[in-house]
Amino acid sequence: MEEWAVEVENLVRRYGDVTAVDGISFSVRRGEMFGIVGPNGAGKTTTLETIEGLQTPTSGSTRVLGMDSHRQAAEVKERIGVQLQASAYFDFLTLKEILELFGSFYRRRLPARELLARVGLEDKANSQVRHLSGGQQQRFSIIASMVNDPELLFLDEPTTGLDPQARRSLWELIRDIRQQGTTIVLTTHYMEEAQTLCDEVAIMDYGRIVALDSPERLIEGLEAPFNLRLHLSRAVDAACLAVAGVGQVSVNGEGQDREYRLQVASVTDSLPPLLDRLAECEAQILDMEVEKATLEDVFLALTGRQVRD
Amino acid sequence: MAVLFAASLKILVRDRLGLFWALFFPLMFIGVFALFNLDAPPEVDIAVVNEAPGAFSETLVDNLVSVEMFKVEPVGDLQAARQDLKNGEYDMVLLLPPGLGQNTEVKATVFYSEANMVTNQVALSALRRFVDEFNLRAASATPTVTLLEESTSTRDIGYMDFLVPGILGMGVMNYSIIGVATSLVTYHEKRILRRIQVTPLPVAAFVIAQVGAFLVLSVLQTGVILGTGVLAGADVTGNFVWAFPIALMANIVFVNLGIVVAAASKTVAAASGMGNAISLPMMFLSGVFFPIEQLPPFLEKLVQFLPLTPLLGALRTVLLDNESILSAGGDLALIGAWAVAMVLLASRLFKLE
Repeated sequence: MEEWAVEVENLVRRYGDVTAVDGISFSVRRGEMFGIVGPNGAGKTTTLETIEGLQTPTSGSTRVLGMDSHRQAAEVKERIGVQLQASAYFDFLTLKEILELFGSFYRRRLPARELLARVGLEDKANSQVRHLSGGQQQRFSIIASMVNDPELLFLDEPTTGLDPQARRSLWELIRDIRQQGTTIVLTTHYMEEAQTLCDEVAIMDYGRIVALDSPERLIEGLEAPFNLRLHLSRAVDAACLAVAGVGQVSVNGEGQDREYRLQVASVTDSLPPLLDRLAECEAQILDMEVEKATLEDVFLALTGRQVRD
Repeated sequence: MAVLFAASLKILVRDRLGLFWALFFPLMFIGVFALFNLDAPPEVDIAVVNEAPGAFSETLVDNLVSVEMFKVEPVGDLQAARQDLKNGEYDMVLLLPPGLGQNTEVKATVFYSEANMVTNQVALSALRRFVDEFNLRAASATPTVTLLEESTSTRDIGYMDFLVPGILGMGVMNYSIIGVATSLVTYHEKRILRRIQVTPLPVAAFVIAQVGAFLVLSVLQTGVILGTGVLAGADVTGNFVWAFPIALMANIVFVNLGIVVAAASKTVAAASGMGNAISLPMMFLSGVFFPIEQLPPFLEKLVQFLPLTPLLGALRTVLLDNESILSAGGDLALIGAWAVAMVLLASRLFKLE
């Protein structure tokens, strides 16, 4: 069996003058959960749809399960599952009918009842999609893309628009699918989602991949991989926080709630000089919290912007 | 493919609003026109004010009563009768003044109301004919020329008989053009076509199944509309079996026209607007409600090439004239030409993305 589920080489996709994807390369190992992350408009969906064979590359190549996704499109489609962003299903058909309908398009198919049971929608088998909640619709949309028991599953922004609880339950489902041995490629603009779910992430910005590694290594690779959150007895200016090892500083909130967020390389190295400097500024630390940096910080460090700027 | 086709049919049959346009809308037309009862001879209420009692005027009134169309009511007061005429209680008031029939200077006078144009025209000419015939008979003259009326049709064709095939053609056309166009645009908007594209099923197969379901529905439409027409008193049972293949064939034109409309529309509202812009003029010009011969000659020449016109022509040939489908050869050839052209155009225009 080929080692790579997806291979993308020098992929470029232009629409007229606009370059949506600007020469990217990456590979996804079989059995892996791979995330393409980045802000809206970074080129994530275009990349995904080109790999799926929906869009033709301007140049470069995309291979899926060892096959060219355009020249061997028919065979590729038999073996992959695709959940599209913001795609709906038929009105007037029940969940069971939709699954059986989509199943009829494939050589290999799973029984509708088994699929519905997997996401706890057995008792909705005879309901129509419009009578489901947002979270249920999204769960249904994922199993509807698995009617052919795919080896490789593409999920485009699977949790966009869901409330936190529904999002978490969807994460469970995605992890569970991966546990069964399905390779998953997903896109998301939620850094937290990529960080919790993915083995490997490609961070995209303006059509390029700006970082490609596991979330842990990306975070460890930061110059300042820790965040120090402080509440102080009085407002201070930046000079009172500028000690060796402190990277970017951001301030949120007003008055009592004013929070200083410092990126630091090492808490043990930076804390003593920081306490001294604050004492000089006649400020005391009321409350302190240390947390590991997130993918969000990685994106900030790489691009100088927040993902949802 | 069988699962897909069954699903496509289920979608159409479960769509109540769609079925309303497919079936109840055309049936409503038949119902409304049946209520008007346009085939019944008009009845004219005449109040007769007889101010010249005597044998002459009595014969005249008796003769008037014997005319089927006239409902005669003798009244005494002219002023009151004219007031009732204004109120719409009578269609006409006929005054027979003293001396009528003796002195030729004395004229019978008929009063009528401008409000009731259609009845006036029919009733006045009938009254004129009645007076002419009465005079001839009074003069004991024999008419030198009599007219024998013979229609080209083997039977009398009433308005309902004419209307029902028209409504059938209209129903099939409206439902298919607008139904196909809006459902395809909906599938595009909801990214269902995109979703089909990532499966091994060719999108063309999906579209063909959808369109095929509309063709099946048009067979149902044909049965229901003709059946209702018969219940409403229309005599359209001629060679009714042929109506099914004719409607089906013409519907190939309309469903493909629907695909063309879908290809040109970005939103469902635009699709239904454009669909209506195509089907409404045809509905009025192609002879659904009145024969195209009543149009100005240049327009008549033009509209006979619209796709609905030969459909209605062929339907009326088999349903009203009891002719076989072969007699509608010219109409069928025109429908066939439209079908080929529309299939080619639809397959060229309907591209994803």
